[in-house]
Amino acid sequence: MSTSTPKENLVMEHLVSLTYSEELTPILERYVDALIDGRIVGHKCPSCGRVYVPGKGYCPICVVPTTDADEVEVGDHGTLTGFTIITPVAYYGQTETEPFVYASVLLDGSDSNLGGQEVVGVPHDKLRSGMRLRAVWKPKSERSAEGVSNRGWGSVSSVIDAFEPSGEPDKDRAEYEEHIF
Amino acid sequence: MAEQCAVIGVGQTHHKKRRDDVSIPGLLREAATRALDDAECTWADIDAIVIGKAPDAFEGIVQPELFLADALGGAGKPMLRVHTAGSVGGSTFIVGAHLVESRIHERVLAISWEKQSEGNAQWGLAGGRSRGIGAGGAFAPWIRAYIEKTGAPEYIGWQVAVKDRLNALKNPYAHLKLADISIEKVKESAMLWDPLRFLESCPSSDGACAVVLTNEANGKRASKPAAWVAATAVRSELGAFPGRDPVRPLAGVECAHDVYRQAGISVPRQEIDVAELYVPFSWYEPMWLEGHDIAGPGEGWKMVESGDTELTGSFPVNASGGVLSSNPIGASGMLRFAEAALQVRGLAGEHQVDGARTALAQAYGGGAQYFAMGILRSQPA
Repeated sequence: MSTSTPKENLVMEHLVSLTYSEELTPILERYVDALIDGRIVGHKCPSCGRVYVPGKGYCPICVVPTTDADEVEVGDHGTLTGFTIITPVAYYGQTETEPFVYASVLLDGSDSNLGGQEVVGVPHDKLRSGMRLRAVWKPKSERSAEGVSNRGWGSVSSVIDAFEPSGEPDKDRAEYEEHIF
Repeated sequence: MAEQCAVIGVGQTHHKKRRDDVSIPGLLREAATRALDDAECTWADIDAIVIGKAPDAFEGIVQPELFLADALGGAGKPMLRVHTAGSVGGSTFIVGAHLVESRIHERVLAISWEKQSEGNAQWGLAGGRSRGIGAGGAFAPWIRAYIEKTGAPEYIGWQVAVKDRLNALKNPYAHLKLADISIEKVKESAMLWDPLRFLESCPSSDGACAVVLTNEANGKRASKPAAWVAATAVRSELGAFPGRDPVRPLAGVECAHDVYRQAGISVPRQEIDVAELYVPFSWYEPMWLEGHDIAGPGEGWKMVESGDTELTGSFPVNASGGVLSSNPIGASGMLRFAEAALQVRGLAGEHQVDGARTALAQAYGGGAQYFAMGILRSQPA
């Protein structure tokens, strides 16, 4: 039996990665094609009229299918409905090192907001719910389908860098109250 | 009529940042053995096992229940995995209770766990991508909305953070032991997800929790007092849809009303003696007090401010120290039920609430969209 002093536990960090590509659903393919073209499209429920961006192929509230025939274009201006400032935590794959904005933006003409958006051109302490924003598009040559997945990640990040104040007057809370999710 | 379910055994591990002294099976076995000892049962007495944990990506082991069966004495026995994100510990308890109530099994071991040190929950939550926000980042905008809506002062969050850590000092199993915690310390801690500060957030813990559930006859025969399951309910809703109120999700409201109705409770604030609520970020205490109609709209933060939710207050919340003091994610929901059971059994030790006869246990998960709630009582119906 060993009588040597106990050693610290040996911990080995071992990274395993798996890279794969996936076929986008037909709805997301149309959505990405439109994004690269500079348009944001969604589906309008034929029953209640709510617009989902991107289209889901159904309205989760009415439980009815939606198709290409229900496709509508929404604006690239929108309203900040909620936000926080994230202090990034380091982990494998994290490239952020400085606090960043994590905002939900309700595009004009849409009923579902875009989550996790960066907001630039305004100091963090001047951000407020109700603020009007507009999309900062990437140059057309830099737009791609990268990051768009069937699991709903990164729905516009490969075409829109961030949102910035549009200078329009703030919206009243009542106008976006139902969209702060 | 359904069989009455009794909690006759409760076990938990010492929750810590790293439990390098045990493997994952060893961690579960530690909690399970304590629960069996408390129930004065052996492994052979258990008819079925229900197991829950948070997403498999957190440790990177897919379907870990398969390799854990042996350690849990599960060979040749029915074993069921439950998965409802952060609420899973609560749902696992409830599934176990249903197996007893429906007379499918006589004695069920329900167990849940997380070994956060063997994985990376931040990476798991981010799906391996950059700009991961952690759980706090998802909830912070809704906390802001709550504050904007109610006008609650910022020190409410700090008060909850201090209260739960002081309670944890009385709980031998709690992870965080911050004897010098103070409002000043919380206020000066780093801002992680505005308005949430470091000390207003839960830790990452390794830990497990287990309960032994059985029928009325065995519950009455047990030598130690049993906790009686008076009500259970689960509800879920989509994480995002137009018209959703993420501050007071309808699924949470309906889940609460269901357990109150089953237990015959009409005024929760008066008829419940102690509550274990899933509060991973300080502001969720007032948010759930309102979201489960214990306090009226805009009144939850006033219960915190006045000290009503302290250990000696009129409505003690998280006498155990709560998720803010120990967060082995998958087990955190079951710990709410286990601690509620300890309270009504009179076995909570130093953090016992005097005369606790009716306890509320609650767990939530996902984007505040999955709810598991229960009412536990000191006496059978």
